[in-house]
Amino acid sequence: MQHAAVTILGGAVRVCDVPPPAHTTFEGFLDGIQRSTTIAYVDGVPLLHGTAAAAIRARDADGRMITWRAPQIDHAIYASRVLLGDATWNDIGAILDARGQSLYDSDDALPVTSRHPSSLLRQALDALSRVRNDLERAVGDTWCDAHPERPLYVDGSVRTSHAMMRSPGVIGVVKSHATLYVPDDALGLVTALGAGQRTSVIVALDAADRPRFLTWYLRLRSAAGRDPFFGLIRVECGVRDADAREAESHADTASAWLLAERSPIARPDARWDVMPYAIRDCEVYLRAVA
Amino acid sequence: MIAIAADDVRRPLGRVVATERRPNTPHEFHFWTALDANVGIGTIVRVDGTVVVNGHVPQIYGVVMEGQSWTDMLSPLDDVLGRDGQPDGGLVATQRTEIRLYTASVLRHIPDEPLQPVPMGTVWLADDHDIALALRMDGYVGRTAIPVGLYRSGGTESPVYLDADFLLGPEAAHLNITGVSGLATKTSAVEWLLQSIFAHFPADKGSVAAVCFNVKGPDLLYLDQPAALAADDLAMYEKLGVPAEPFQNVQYYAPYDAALRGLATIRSNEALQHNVQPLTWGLKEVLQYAVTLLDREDIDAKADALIDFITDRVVGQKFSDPMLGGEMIVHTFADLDQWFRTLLDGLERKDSQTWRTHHVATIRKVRNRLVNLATRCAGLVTDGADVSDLPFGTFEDRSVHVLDVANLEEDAQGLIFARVVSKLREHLERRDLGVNHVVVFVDELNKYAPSDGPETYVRRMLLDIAERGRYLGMVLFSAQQFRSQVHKRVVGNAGTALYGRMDGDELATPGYAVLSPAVRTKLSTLDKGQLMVRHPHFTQPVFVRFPRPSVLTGRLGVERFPAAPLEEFDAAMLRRLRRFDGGLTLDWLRSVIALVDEPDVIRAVRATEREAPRDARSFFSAQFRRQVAPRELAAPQALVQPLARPVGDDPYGF
Repeated sequence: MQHAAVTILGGAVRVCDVPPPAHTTFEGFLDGIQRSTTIAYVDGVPLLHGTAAAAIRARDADGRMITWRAPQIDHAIYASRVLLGDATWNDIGAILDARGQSLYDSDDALPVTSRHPSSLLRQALDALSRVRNDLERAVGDTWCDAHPERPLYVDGSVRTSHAMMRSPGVIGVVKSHATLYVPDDALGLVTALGAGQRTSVIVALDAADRPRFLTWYLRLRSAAGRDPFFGLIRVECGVRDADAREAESHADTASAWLLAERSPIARPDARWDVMPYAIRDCEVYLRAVA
Repeated sequence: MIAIAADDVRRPLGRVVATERRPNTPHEFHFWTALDANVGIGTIVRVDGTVVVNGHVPQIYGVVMEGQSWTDMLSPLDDVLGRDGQPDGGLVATQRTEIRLYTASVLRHIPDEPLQPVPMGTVWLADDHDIALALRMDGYVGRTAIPVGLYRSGGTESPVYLDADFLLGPEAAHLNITGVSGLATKTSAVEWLLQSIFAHFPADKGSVAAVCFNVKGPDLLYLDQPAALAADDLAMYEKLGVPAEPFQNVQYYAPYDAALRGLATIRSNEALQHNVQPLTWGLKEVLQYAVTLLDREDIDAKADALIDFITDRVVGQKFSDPMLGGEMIVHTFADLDQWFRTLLDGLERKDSQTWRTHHVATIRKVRNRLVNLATRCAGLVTDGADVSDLPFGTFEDRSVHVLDVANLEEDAQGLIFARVVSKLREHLERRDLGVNHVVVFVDELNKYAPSDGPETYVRRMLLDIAERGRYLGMVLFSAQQFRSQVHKRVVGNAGTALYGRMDGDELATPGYAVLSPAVRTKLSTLDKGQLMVRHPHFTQPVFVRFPRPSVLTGRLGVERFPAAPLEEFDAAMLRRLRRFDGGLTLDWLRSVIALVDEPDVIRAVRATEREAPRDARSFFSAQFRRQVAPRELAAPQALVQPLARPVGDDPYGF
């Protein structure tokens, strides 16, 4: 469990009732997928075939989903260049090039710390995740360029994209809670949120303690008798040049939209308690085409 | 709508899909479409393959036989959860992904060989050209095509043709139509198809006429009267190339009613009498088909032999025998009765029990049965020699002959059917009917050719037409409500089958198991004017629409031409005579028939009808023997004086 550096608007975390949802205005839903298979080992170094894809599914006036522009899809082989050696790396690269595929260095971001195959695989998977994030960001940025005002639901954090942080209609939804954005003493308040309740707005800070983005917790479905994180999401959006009252108002509006996305239910996806159907639709689409 | 339709034809309709669990085969394939695709059960589609096979990109034609839709919902419970248990509750922001998956039966592969499973490819709505290819009509359109209706789906509106060689022979023949009663589909379809045949039957195939048995209601009784058609119907006539006109040459025939005062038909309105003729047969005509009226269990071989003897040796020729005391000629039922009486008297006088090997009991029995025929079929069978019949030998091309037997007992219906069909057959065999092909239309096949029940002469004749008629040019158009209850060989020999709206119970019978559940559902909900067609060239059933017949419906006909009211005897006779002389009056008739018995008047009227004389007044009057003119009697003259005069107030005069 990690704690993020935050500032609590108003000094303390409060519980707020979200106004009943009357409608939702999200027009686009951004999500990405990744898929991988270890295809070979060369001198103990794994070669991972990875597919990453990202797309926005737009919702038309009848509530039906269609793909907005072309999806971003990337197929590549991930391996450690250092451990393979330049000669082998170049040989493999030439073979893949002839087949129209790319070879990515999984050490590109982080240096190799262990030759353990599991470690190497984890490093390759991390590289694949970074490619997926890049694709998601690219698709999201394209949306923001084209429709800066149109509400976009992003499955995941938005803080990696300046364009998305700046666009007033972009809302990021984080389903995991490995990093806490409230102090320990407010955790009980978060886990005790009832369906349709949210926390007050929290300002996440960057390394220089400057406001980086706004976030708050929202309970989509009652967790009575269940895991305390059941139906709990954390919402992110860019920091606006506005006061705390306006931030809370924006949080109410966005939370109401998110509550309106609870139906139809996203089953059979296991994350149905925190995932809107439109995001599941986007995932199904990407799995079908990628 | 047309604009949308045109777009629909140009845009792909869907894509072929196949999975291991739902593979495509040479005879069936699956495709999905957009949710708003203009496609449904019965739609004809074309698949364009993507891989060249044997030098050709295959094209496959199919007709949609089944449709399914589903969403990505795992369990109905998901929707309950999503709506918090309230059917109208909750805001549903997104519509679930939904598929429309159709299954089509293959109509045709082009090229025909090699016959392979339907490939993946793009699916298109069929256009006119595709419809012709899909239904293999390209082989006979322009030669022997008979329009049966319009295929309408997805904006395509294409004529569908039957092949005359397979409808009227010689390749195949006969047509059977089934459907629930009350929708006027069966009769309307036959009327429409006869119009279409008359308009399109190729001249090089010869001439054609129709003989229709009107067994119920007035539906066939106004075929010569025009109907007011809607614009949509007129457009269909135009598209199908059939004149929207009533039949030009129709003759009606009906026996007299039991009281012999008029014809037993609803078509008795005076304005429609110009083409209504009596149907009356005498002894000679009836005796040949007497077996249809006689109970086979009652008439044994001995009786049969005597009937044959009378038919061959007695009727219509001079016959002498010592037992008869001289020469006799039997022309009528009255003559026959006299012949029997003379014979039996002779046997009694000579105290003999047999005559020419026939036992007296057999003679009495045959006399009883034969003479009784005139009573059982009164109105049809005349006691005299006057006969009014169909114009066997002079049938005209494109003529329709309607026999109204709706008001007759079953015996008489059977007799009429047996004799008319037999005569048609005889003349067709001799090639002297007047036409090369004759369509015989019989409704209520459930009654006349049931799949179970006792063997009847009518059923045997229907079977005979169904199995051998096409070689002669005799074509059976039959209709019934329940096809499953009709003799299998009758419906099985019908090359073409039409289905209107069907009853659910009927559709549940094994005969319809070959149809998909969706097609059966469509059959149970067909509109008026919609038919499912099976024809030898069509490898799958096809749905078509046909226009309302351009003849007056029975219901409107009865309203517009109400039947003549029941009349007094003399008024009824006058109405029949006025067909030949409109100046005849009731007073004149009454003066002529004042002292004549009714049977003699009827005989005279029939003679006038048969001869159609130029001077009907004189001809009719001449039919009666000279009568002593009636005169007033003078007041009786008192020749004898009363014995006593009354005295005072004594009333007794004593």
